[in-house]
Amino acid sequence: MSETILKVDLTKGSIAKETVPPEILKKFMGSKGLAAYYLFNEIPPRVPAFSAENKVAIMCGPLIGTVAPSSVKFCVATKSPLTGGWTDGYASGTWADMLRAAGYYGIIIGGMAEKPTYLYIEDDKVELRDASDIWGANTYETIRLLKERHRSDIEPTVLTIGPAAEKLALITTVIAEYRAAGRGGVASVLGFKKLKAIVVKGHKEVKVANPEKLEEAAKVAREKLIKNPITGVRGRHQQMGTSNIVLGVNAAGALPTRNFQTGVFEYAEDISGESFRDTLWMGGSRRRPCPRCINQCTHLAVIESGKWAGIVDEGPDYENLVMLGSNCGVADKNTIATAEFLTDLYGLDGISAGNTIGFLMECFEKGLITKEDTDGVNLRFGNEDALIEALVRGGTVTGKLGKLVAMGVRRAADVIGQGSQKFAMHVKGLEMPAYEPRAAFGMGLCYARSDRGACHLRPWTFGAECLGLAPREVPYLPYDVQGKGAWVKTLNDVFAAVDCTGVCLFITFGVDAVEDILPMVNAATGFNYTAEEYIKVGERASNLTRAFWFREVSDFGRNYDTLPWRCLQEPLPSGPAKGKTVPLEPMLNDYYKAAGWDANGKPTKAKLQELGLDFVIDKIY
Amino acid sequence: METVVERKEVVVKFMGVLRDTAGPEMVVTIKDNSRISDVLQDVQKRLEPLMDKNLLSKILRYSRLVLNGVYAPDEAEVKPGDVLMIISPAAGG
Ligand code: SF4
Repeated sequence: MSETILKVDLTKGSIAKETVPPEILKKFMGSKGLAAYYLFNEIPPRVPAFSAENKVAIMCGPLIGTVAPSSVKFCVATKSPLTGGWTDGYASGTWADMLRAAGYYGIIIGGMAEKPTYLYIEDDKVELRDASDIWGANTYETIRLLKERHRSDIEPTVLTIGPAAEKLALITTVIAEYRAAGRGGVASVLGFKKLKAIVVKGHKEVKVANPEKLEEAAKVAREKLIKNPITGVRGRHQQMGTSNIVLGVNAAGALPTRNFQTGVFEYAEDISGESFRDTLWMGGSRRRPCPRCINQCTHLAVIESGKWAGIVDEGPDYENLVMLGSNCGVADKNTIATAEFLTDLYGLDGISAGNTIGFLMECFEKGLITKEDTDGVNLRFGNEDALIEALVRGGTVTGKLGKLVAMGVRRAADVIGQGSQKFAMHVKGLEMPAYEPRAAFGMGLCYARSDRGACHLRPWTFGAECLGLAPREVPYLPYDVQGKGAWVKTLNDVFAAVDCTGVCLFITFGVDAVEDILPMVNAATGFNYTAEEYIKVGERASNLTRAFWFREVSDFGRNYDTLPWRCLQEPLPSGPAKGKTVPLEPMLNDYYKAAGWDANGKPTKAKLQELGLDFVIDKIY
Repeated sequence: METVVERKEVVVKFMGVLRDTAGPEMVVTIKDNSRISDVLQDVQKRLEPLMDKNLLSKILRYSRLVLNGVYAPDEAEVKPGDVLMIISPAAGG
């Protein structure tokens, strides 16, 4: 197969089409892998994240737009202004389908425009256009305006940044057809470059190497998904989306509550997936599934009464629900759904926003900040209006409170000082998501080691550790230490491989990530990867992003693969994990060993050679 | 003298897929020296008519067990009034 990418230089106003060399395509496959390849090679070392030289890669995988189930997830990656290192995020929905239908596998965006600009793609026609009239508009308004402007025989799909990214807040996401992508402030890099949106219309068919084989493999996968009680028809995702796990996570003592002060929320029932299903989601009947998806995890919340009446929005998914809910001490479903709506509207990362606001609430309650610092907002846990106010100000970067929210938790703790860094819940500067690692040690290792900072999906061990997705035996139990490092490493590579394919990770709850997905990849690409080669694609991508950190951050190493003080030193006060802290070091040792990294966590030359990453060696040695 | 008969029951609470079949909780009668494994057997018997046998036994083998708020092994003894939480498979992200 041959794939074309667009290379956009916003400084020059130029656009080039380039074919991905076949050997590079096979080696890096797509999405995460290919984004890492291009960005490692094209971003000059150590340039600031906010600079014309930094680049953003938007990349598809080979299954996007094909008949494979949930084949929708594309990657947005860059050098992060929040962490200073690698970041990549994924969005579902329909945007990437259209990019492929226009004939493109990805876009690399560099330079910096003089004035607000958007990229218009209609099949072979690709142009930069003036976005002055939409600069400042919120994400939903931007999508509406651009759809109206470019609607013809088909409706265009729109990817946009929000006001938060225009104002260079550091905790932003891009919004693509109402779905969020990217953590680590990826949208703000586009904001700095003055690229407001990408509008796409495509009329072509996505070509695959072997359509019959692909349909055959997709059918097998679909049948497995349909039968599974989580992913299947009337399964837990169709009823409650990812939020179906709230009660299980709380029962395991791992539901971040009041800035991770405990893992048990006394109002968990009120914010559970079951409770959302039975109220705002109308029994799970208001689904907004991505194309070709069996899971159908996305639900439309309609707020019909109370002070937020009239708000209609997708979500909240598990992460946003918890970080904007229990982590801020908020138990009102309408408020949580409204909070999620605001994060989408302004283009804020809901995980980072909920984490940072939870942190500020703790600072406020401890007297480390006062109303003087919050522009008069009574920023206490559980104060619903305060949560909403903090999001509005953060999303518009307004006043002292807005600036504190928009800078993310690491910088906010540095500004506030007074020991608050001990409970600033981040790794490498990226805010921790919605699992308490003291209640699931594997998640602690995932957070500490992940290639974008605290990430819940690199890999996601929580289901195996605490939610019954693996047998009750070593190393899957939540407090096992032995064997955990090697297990997490293997899982990481598999998850990364799936990220390279373009299918949604959530299908792996119903199909095998290798046995079922690989046949589809081979049918689509014709590359005939063996299982080992396929997993190596994931391992290669993960080593390349790891090398990116080593190249970009002068003192990078083991000292960065750590957890907040609270997780390492402060025992959990309640729940099944009462008294636990994370014993990180032995797990990290095992991980490094299994990964072929040295004691400082650096990929060895031999490992880089084995993965065909020879071009990296002289950049980090 | 009045004889007090203690009810030998434990409450089993469900999280995850089993909650969809069993409801939020069920009461299980136990004997002297009953263990979690005995309670699981009882649960299995009662749920078998409602779902695929093999799937159910796999789910019960995989579920996490929290007895009175603390993880407990299958062989842990259960006493009247205990609460056993069965965290059965669920998946999010
Ligand atoms: S599981 Fe959810 S996010 Fe993934 S493709 Fe389906 S609807 Fe979209």
